[in-house]
Amino acid sequence: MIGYGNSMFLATHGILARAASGGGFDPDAQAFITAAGITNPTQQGAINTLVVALKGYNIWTKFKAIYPIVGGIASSHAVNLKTPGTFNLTFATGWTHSATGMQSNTATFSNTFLNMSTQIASVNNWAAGFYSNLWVSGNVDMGADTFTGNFYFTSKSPNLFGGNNARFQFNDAVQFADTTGTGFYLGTRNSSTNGKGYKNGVEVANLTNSNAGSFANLNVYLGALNRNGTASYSTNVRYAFWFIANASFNPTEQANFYTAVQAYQTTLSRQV
Amino acid sequence: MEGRIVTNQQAQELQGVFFDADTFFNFVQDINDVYFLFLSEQDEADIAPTEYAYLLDIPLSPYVPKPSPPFSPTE
Repeated sequence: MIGYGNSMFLATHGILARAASGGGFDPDAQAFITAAGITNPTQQGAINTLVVALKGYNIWTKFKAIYPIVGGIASSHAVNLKTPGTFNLTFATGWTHSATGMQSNTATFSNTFLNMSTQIASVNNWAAGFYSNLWVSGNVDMGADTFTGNFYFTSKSPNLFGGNNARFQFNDAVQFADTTGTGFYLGTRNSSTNGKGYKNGVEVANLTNSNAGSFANLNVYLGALNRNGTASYSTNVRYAFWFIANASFNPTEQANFYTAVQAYQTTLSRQV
Repeated sequence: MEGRIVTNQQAQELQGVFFDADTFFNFVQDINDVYFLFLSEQDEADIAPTEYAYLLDIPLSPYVPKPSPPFSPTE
């Protein structure tokens, strides 16, 4: 029944779907559904289930921005689920928007207007990532950089790193093997000496260093790197989810997050 | 990859200009510093009813990208 989420999934994972008072959606889910103009019942239900799951896993408050990329058009894909109207995306020409996500073209990008140097409280406590379901050519999937490190995240990028290699960068880069270029990628800095990268809930990268560096005083771009104010290294990848969080994820939290996001993508029939 | 060639003046005047609430024109220079505009089908549909519809009349031309600069200071 619309408004009660995927009760079987949530019950299985010990999280009961709850309805907002009056039997409607979770209020944060409803706010997004309204702002993004989502009218499809399956999509509405998927959003509600996602929000309920994130709250049930006690990770909802970590996020600064969540872009669930639902609705199939630019105006819907632009909306920030966490706080609709704040850090909404804008798109350079060239994105292909569809029910399966938003696909770049090697010459475009999206602006989050989220400047991590002012929005993330600590360089030692944050996370970011994305879900991709089609890889054509890789480059930088997201980031903001002043050519001295900072933050970026790349899935499979033979153009940049040769072979099937990917990287998560927070001052120092940690490289990991990535043969598909698709899936759920999460990078997190969890202390002054450690950061980790995960793909599909599994740790793929571990970085131990004592210098987390600093965030560039630039907005994070999606589908490309914001390098000194210029979009660079644009990908040709289709994305179905993005997030930036003002807190790190421990192994259990990132696994739960992946479970929720994968269920969301499966409901929308665009999972990998 | 193909795109629409525009003049330097067109690129400078329209770079960053929004043609609807969410999407703005973005021009990319090719290997010869010629400005190109790449539009998705949705972009074209959204531009068609606007004052910028003339851009859709520009024929498509092959695009050769600039070589990527070194990714990091050490590469």
